[in-house]
Amino acid sequence: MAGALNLEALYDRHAPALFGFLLNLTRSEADTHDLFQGVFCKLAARPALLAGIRDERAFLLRLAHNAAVDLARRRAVRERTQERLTETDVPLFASTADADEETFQRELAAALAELPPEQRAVVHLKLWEGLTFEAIADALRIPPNTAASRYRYGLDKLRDRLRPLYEEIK
Amino acid sequence: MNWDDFEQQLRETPLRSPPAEWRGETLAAARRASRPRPVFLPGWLGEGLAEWLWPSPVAWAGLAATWAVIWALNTTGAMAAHSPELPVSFAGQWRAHQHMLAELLELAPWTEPTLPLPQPPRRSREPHGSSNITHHETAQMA
Repeated sequence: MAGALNLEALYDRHAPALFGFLLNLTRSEADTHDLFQGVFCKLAARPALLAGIRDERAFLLRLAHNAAVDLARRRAVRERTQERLTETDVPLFASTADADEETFQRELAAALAELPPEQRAVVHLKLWEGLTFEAIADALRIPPNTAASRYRYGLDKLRDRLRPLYEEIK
Repeated sequence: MNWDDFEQQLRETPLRSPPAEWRGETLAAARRASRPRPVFLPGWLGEGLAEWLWPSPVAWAGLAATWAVIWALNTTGAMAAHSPELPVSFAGQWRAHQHMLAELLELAPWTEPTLPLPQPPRRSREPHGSSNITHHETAQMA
């Protein structure tokens, strides 16, 4: 089963995208690790899930999103306070030697953390996965118009939050 | 601020990659998950149950185990509550069997067993020599 699926190739194709998406959603490396591993284990146990899937990346992102939403629901009550304390500390972007770039990355990560999770998911998939609104809608099981409006709202908030820093850097 | 420039700036901000050691761990875990597990139920039923119990099979299993424990405690409690006394019908049958067995074996006259049988309500004790027959009834009999 796993041999037919070729887990290594699947991992190499999609691991970076799933990691970035899950890390942005959970803001916890430990949770990202569990969910990330869970997605690949699920596919290894049930390779038939991938049969007939046209867009493998979008499907995996949907699995990851579902897993992250489930985790957030389970923890909504008991660990809300702890999550709030740690959510802006996790490094989301690749490290850089440029001080301005590093500052921008830190502020961008913090601004993303302030977005509601549903806006954050859409913004992430649009900006860093380059998905169309139709593909995002399919991955998150929402109407395309909702995906578009969430993206606009999310981007507006990021722009307002980062405007001073962005103009200073530019 | 130019909208397109800002979007482009965000897009070009590179995300972190997963730690290198995750590859081995994840693939090993996935290979373990892909091994066939012992089948307790037919495929379609097992799949159906898995879908139905998702996303918290452990919680459902815990609930089922709790119910099983409650049922077991309830059953043993009920048995303990009824065990000291035998039902009257069973006691009667047992006495008849003992009587028949004694007759067949030609043993000494059969005596009442010392089982905790239901007793009729006792009347208050009366002094020796007294009788339930009243003087009025005695006169009528004479």
